[in-house]
Amino acid sequence: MDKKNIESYLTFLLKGEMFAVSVNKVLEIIETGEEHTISYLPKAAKSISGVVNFRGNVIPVIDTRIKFDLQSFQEKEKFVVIVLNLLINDREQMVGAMADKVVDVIEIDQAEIKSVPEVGQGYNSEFIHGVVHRNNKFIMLLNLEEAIGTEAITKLRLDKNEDITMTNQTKPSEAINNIELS
Amino acid sequence: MSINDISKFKHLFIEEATSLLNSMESIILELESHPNNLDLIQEVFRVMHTIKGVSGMYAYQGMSDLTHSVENIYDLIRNGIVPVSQDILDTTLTVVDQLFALLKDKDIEDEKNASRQKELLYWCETFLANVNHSNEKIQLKKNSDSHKKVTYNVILHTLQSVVDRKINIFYTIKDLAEIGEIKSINPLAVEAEEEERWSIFIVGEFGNEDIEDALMFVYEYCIIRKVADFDIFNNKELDENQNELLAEELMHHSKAEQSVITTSDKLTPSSIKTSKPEAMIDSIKQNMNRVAVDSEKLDHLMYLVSELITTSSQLNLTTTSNNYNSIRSHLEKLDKLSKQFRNNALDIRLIPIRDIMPKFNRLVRDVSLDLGKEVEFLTEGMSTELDKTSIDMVAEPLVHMIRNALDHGIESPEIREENGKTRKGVIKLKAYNSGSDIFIEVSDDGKGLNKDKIIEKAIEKGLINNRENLNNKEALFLICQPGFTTASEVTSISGRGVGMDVVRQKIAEMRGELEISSEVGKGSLFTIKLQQSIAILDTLLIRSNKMKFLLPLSDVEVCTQKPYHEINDRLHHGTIDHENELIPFISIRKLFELEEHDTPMAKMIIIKKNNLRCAICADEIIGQHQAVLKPMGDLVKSHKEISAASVLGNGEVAFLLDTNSFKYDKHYDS
Repeated sequence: MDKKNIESYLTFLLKGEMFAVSVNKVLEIIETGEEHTISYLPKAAKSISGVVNFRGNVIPVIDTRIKFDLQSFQEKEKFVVIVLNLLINDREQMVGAMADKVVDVIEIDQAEIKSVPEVGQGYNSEFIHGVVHRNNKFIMLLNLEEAIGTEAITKLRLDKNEDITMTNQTKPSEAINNIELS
Repeated sequence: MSINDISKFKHLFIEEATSLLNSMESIILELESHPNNLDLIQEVFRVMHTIKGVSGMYAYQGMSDLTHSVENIYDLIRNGIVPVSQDILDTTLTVVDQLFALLKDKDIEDEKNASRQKELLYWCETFLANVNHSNEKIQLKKNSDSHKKVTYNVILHTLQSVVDRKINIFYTIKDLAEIGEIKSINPLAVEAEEEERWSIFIVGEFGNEDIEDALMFVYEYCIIRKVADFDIFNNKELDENQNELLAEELMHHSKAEQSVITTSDKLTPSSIKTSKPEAMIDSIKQNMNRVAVDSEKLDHLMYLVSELITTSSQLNLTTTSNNYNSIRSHLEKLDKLSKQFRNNALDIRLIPIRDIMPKFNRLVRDVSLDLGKEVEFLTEGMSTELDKTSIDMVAEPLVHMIRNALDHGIESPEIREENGKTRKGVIKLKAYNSGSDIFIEVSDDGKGLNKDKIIEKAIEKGLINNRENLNNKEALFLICQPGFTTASEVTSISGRGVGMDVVRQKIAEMRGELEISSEVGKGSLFTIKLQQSIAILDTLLIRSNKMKFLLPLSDVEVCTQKPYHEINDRLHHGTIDHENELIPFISIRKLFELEEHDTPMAKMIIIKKNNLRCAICADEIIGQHQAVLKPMGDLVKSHKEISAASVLGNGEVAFLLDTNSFKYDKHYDS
């Protein structure tokens, strides 16, 4: 797909797992606090933890842990917000994504990217477009546009015996009712 | 289309051409009522001439062909050879439309544009051929002049520094075009991306000094060479055109087509002398009074201003809590200055309504011709200024309203006479400000809105059940209900309705209000009330649970309080008594499903919007806040109660409640 073979990726941790997103899409990494308080947005989808002031714009912040069906952030847990510029519904939009910790910027050769393993503890290939093996660790390359473009909670990892369903704490109908993407 | 592909100067061309074409419309309409005004004719000629020159430069071949032909026609007019006729004016208007279209469709890829282009060129050609046929003698005389011409070649070198010095290449070309005929403008190959080189061939009767004068501002970037003592293009072109002509049209002899060339070459010394200083003074005047700025730059300025205001209020907040008395006075000054700065920046964005006027003149003219109605379009207060964004947004509803007035308001001349009115109907567009609000009125002296018929129709359509509880205003407002009318049903109820729900919705988006009043047989009046700026708003900051909300201060009538249990009791009724009147109320807690909070007293904010009262219950009224409004992204658009957000001094985000979204028309449904 890309003309250049090597592309830079920003890696971050989410509940112990390493994810990566192309740096071209990253605008800034902000630490919440004084200037960047996340304001709760009523009646929003569960995966939207609120809105934040970014360079004078009000942008939504996605709780990636809820979004990807990992254990959600606790009140006192530390996190950063990666501000991304994504093409959602054919429009460029700024979105904040919560992450436990930003790790590094690495260069990945396109040849290195392996397709999502389908056997065993598989991953939902709709939202992960590849996996890279580095230092005995798997780094998952996220397809955030797809993931954030859909309203519901998305599961990255599929258990063998389970379909792509939601865990019992969030019913899909609830999530969909709460937010309507235009 | 990547940004790099676009020449640095091309957007300047498009900007200039757009504004020139805009001015054309009003000039033509003016010319329609004063066909003998030589200044107006000169102006049309000049605009066409300028567009021709520069469109060629950016390879807008279609535009340059078309303007070339029209220019020739106006040249004949200004020399008194042919009079201004309705035909010519109609065609010129179509040409203006076509030029607008070509600005977007450079290579005439659109089929409709292509066929129109052909038609227009053919019309001009035939027109010129006819005129010239009957004016052989004049043409011959002019032909003999051509041997005095000289040909110059100018290599114009434009680079970033030209742009930096705010030199508009456009005007240079314009000046050049005024001393002679620009025969060709071609880009030359360049090494660096940020420079451009143009080779310009110019033919005319002028000397070295004239050309140096014209190139005064860019002289240092030019290489000027005299190529020949005659018009090197003329002989060749003559042959070409003759061939074409023989093939196409045998009826008119070669002289006819020759004249097309000769007229274009005919910027004779006498016409130069009359037009040049005038044009210079005009353009200098224009440049002194108005500065054309890219609207993106303005948006950026507004962004900086809003950041400044936010920072300044942050600073205020910190100092109040920490008691820094020594810097207090400086801070106050800073606060004052930044507010002045804000007002100033807002002021820059203001544009007089006049700027969109030509479109309306045109609309009234075209639609009334179509419908066979006689209409006089009056305007008043067109210098009233509105924010750029508002102007853009208000144009659409105004078009709908004026079209409705033409279509359904004004009667046909016969019926008007029967009813003892003048044949000519009057539509009036009036704008004025009052306080920080802008009012725009569209009125007509047509047949007016028939309340009973509207109600009948609404019942038939199932929009309402009974008629008793509707007052006059509410009844008239029914025409704004979506689904009230479709185009075919409008005439049968003798009301209006095409797009009225769109009108109301658009106005609501701008946080404006619409009022309708009408008297059967006498006419109707539609009033739009708008805020001057929609980017910055004075608001009331309130809190419910942990969330903060904003209400437009202009909507707030009065604030009171009530024990919470009383409110909870009335929740299922949806109304609450205020000064012995039952009014609808909205509990923010309930609206946003917020948890119960332990405040014994609820604050009630009574707002008045669209002439209806409504109470809003919150936990606390914090105070006034000057809100710099930010749009909410697509991801959170589902909240129809929230129309925008604003960043508070402490970095928190507060949400603007859309007072228009609250259901006032509830009693229509039940």
